[in-house]
Amino acid sequence: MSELSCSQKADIFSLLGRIFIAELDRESLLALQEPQISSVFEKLQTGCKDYLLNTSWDDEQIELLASEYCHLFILPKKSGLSLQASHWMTKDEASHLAQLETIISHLDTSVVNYDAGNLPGDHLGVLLYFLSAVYHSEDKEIQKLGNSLAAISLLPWIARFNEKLSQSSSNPVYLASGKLLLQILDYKEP
Amino acid sequence: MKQSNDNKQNESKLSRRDFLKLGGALTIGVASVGLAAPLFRPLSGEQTQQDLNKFISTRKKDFVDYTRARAIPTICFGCTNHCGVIGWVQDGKVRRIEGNPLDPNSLGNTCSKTHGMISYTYYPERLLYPIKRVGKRGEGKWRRISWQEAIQEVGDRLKTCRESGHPERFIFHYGRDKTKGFTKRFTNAFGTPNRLNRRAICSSNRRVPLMSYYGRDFEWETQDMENTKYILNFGSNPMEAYQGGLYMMHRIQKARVDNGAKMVSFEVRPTATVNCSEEYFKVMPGSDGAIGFAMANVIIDEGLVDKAFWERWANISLAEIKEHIKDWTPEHAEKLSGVPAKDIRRIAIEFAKAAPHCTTMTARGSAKHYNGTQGDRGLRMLDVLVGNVGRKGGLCLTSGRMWGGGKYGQDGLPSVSQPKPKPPKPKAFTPGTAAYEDLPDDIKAKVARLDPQWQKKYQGELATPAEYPLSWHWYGMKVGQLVQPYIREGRAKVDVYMSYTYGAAYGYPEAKVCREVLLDEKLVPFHVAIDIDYSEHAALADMILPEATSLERWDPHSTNCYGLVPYTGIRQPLVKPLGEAREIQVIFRDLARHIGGGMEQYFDYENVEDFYKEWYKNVSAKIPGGWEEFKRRGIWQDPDRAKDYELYERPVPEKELLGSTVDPETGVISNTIKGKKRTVGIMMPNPETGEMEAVRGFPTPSRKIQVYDPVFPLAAKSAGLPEGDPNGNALPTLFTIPGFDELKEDDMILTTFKWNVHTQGRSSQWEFHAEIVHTNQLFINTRTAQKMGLKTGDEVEVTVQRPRGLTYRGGINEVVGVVRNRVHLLDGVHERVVCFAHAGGHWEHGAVARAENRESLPIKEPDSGLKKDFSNEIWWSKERGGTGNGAPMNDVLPINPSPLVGGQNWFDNICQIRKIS
Repeated sequence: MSELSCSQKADIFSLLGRIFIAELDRESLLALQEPQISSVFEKLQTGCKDYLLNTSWDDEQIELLASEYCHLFILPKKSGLSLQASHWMTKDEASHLAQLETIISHLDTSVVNYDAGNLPGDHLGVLLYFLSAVYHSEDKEIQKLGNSLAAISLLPWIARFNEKLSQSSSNPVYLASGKLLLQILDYKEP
Repeated sequence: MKQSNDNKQNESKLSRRDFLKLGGALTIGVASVGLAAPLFRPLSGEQTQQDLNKFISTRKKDFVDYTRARAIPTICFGCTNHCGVIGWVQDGKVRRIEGNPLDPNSLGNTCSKTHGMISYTYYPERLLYPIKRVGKRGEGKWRRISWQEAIQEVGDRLKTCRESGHPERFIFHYGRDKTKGFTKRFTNAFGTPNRLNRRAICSSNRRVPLMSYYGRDFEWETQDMENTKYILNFGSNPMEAYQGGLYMMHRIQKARVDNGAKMVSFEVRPTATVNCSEEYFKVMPGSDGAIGFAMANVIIDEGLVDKAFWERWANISLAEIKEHIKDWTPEHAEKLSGVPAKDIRRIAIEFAKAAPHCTTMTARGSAKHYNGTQGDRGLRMLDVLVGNVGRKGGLCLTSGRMWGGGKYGQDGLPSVSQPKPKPPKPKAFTPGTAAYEDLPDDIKAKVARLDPQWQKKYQGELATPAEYPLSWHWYGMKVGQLVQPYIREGRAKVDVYMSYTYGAAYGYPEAKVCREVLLDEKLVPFHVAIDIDYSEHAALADMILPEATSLERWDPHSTNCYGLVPYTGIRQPLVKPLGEAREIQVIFRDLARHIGGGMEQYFDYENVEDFYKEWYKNVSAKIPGGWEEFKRRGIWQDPDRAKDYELYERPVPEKELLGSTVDPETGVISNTIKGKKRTVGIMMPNPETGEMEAVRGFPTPSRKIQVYDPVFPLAAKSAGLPEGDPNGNALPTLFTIPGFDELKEDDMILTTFKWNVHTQGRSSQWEFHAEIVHTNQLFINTRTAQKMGLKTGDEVEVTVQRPRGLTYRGGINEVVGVVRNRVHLLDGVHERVVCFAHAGGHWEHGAVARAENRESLPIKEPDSGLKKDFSNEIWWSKERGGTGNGAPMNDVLPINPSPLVGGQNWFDNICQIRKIS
């Protein structure tokens, strides 16, 4: 069996970036319903496949899902689930991460879906898309930096974030996504 | 959506195949669904690569990857508190240390000093290989040797010494030894009583009043801070530097916020504790006792004594005490201390009315004076008068130190005891023994004058100095600052002198005396130092053996618990010792085997962990999961155990009453335990029924609180103090420090203190701590300074006089030393006080402590991976235009042991200040 390529890693980070950067829309849900994706999500979180495939994704359900995202991540006072790394990191770690944010702020955005300028540089969705861009690079030297950058920008806090997520939400997609994030960060080629 | 509690059960690990499936699906599906469309364009360009590399490289060196790092609990060694901590270890290196929430003392808190352990473990100038001098002693020329050569030479010398019939000529002199008796195992096995410490430097003057009042087991009190409502603080500073300080500070603040507790501090300078106090009174050094006696008078006069408690537990009547202290009034105290009499009255009444939820707190500030022991005895009386002893919110006594099984207050706790076989204690120097016959005649005469109980215990002038019987009456506190002077005077002979993480050559009073003796090869033929870095003391050795740091070794841990439920913990290695550094347990094991002659039987282990596993077998037996679980938690405490309130009222267990006898006059119950007759309790009337019953009482000879203690006059007679000398009074007594009653107008009192980021002389090489505090300017009251024409930054010359009184060279009219330093003006310092932190002015301990921009270790070690460029890091060096590392002030402080007890009187130094123009 072949190794997980940088391009595949990039796409997984991109998928996770999409899930965390904003509320899920109908197109995203359709993609998640793809059998190969939903079966992996089911393995991560029992009931996820059923949730994705058997929920009637009408406007009301989409709105409910958006509302849930909002309560979990945008108004995090209640859930305590900030998507910003600086919320979880020590002062030192956060101040160091600010250097990375500066680098990110100078990168070219490719798609207009989400305006990076309106999101903080340490937002989980931005960081995940950034890692995706690193792995998507054609420059192998840049690709090699992916693991270190993931370790610095995500590892110090993502386990605590995920722990909190598991306490605050029972949405199978978010729970599966949190676990997927932890496992992709921990993924090592045999 | 409602929360789910079963998410953990739902976790499933993805296989490699799952990842490939997911990755593949996304890669194929990107174009069609647009889900994984990226936010950023793929990165490219040399500049981006450089930026990212730079970012990573600056972070990588200290980054903790929590998914890979291992969390290992251990016990901090950053100061005297010894908090339970958790170290994060990644790639074989300790990256971060945080508090262990299972520690009932620290409650998971830590201070900056815990990170000092990382600093000294990875200090670029740490010693990592055994070295032997090749030049003259103290010249700083060394060569690296193997451990085999080191053990051979030290072992041969020790073997020769032991076989000569004079094992006492092996001197083991340690600084901070938290092996809980492991080093004693070595010295006992060897047969020398000369395991010498620095207790006199630290706290013996404050321990003696406690042991005299409450018994040997309570040499350290445990205030129930979280339940108290009133704290009288006499010169202690738990917010910065105090044994138990971290444990107390959170509880004090909790009491202030939750209970509205009030803290009143009597101090000579504005400490952090003062800043947390509701009231602060500047006091003349050495006058705390006067305030205590005055308050006692007020409490008695105002009828605020808890008579039931006093009559039940004090060993002298209230009328006798009243008569004894009647002249030491608030007005008298005002004259001595400067604290207004009306405030003394008011505070005494407030304190007594808060009883039993009130407590005193004393420390060096009150005790490290010529009159400190008697003064602290006076202060301790306040607790007995108001009846707060052992009660909720009061001055409690918990016996959690050195669990031995069956010790006072430890009923029901598992015994934590060194593995068997245990070596016997060294023999006393009684007439006819080789050690006794080796004593000079004048010393034999002093020994003959000792009370028989002490003659039987006498073990030479270093371990049991005849003039200081109270330094070894309760246990061997020793008088460390007299060791080198006594060796010079010929009171003891030396074959092998072994120092263990010891800094007397820098940090002791008149440290130059120590250096002179260590440099004299006739007095000290061989000096082997065991240390972790190149200290001033080690620099005067013939050989240095590098020791593992606290992050690299095992130690047992127990101390008194401020939550009042005894606990224990284990220090365990987080990483292997760097270089060829070795644990003391390995060094002593190998030496014992080399020396032989039976010593080796006490060190019969290969793996150090096995030794501690055996040591803690009774604790492990209490824990599901045993030893491994104990290691995983790092701390053990019986969750069902009641708090140690009023231990003295607890009944004596039936088994101890079987075969016991009761003294008809005193009611003291005695029994024979392990072949020795001991007191186990006292018959007291039940407060409700009046029926006599056997209760524990206090572990004192009378089983009561010994406000009156005949041991003082006995010691005074034995030591040859003049008749009527107040140090020998059986009752707590007030007197003035000799010389303080004839101070000239320009005389000042020189005192010392500890910074909150430093630990004596052991922390100046901690890089980040040194960056915060690296010098030791003289703090002086603003108005006093202005009268002298001084402003902050001015250089002055400090001339310190030899003290008066019955102390080392006491009364000789001479200058001890002159030193230059710079002043810092500070409101809140007492007008007659000038004070400095004693951890400055190092000339060894490497580049950081020396505040130099170059490596200073006098031997080139093989690349340890720790070396670094100091050229930019030490920004406070004089070379870089900084202040440097301060002045070596300890040389000008006189050796000044307190009569009978021997505690160093650090704060009695009369000096003159002169501005350098």
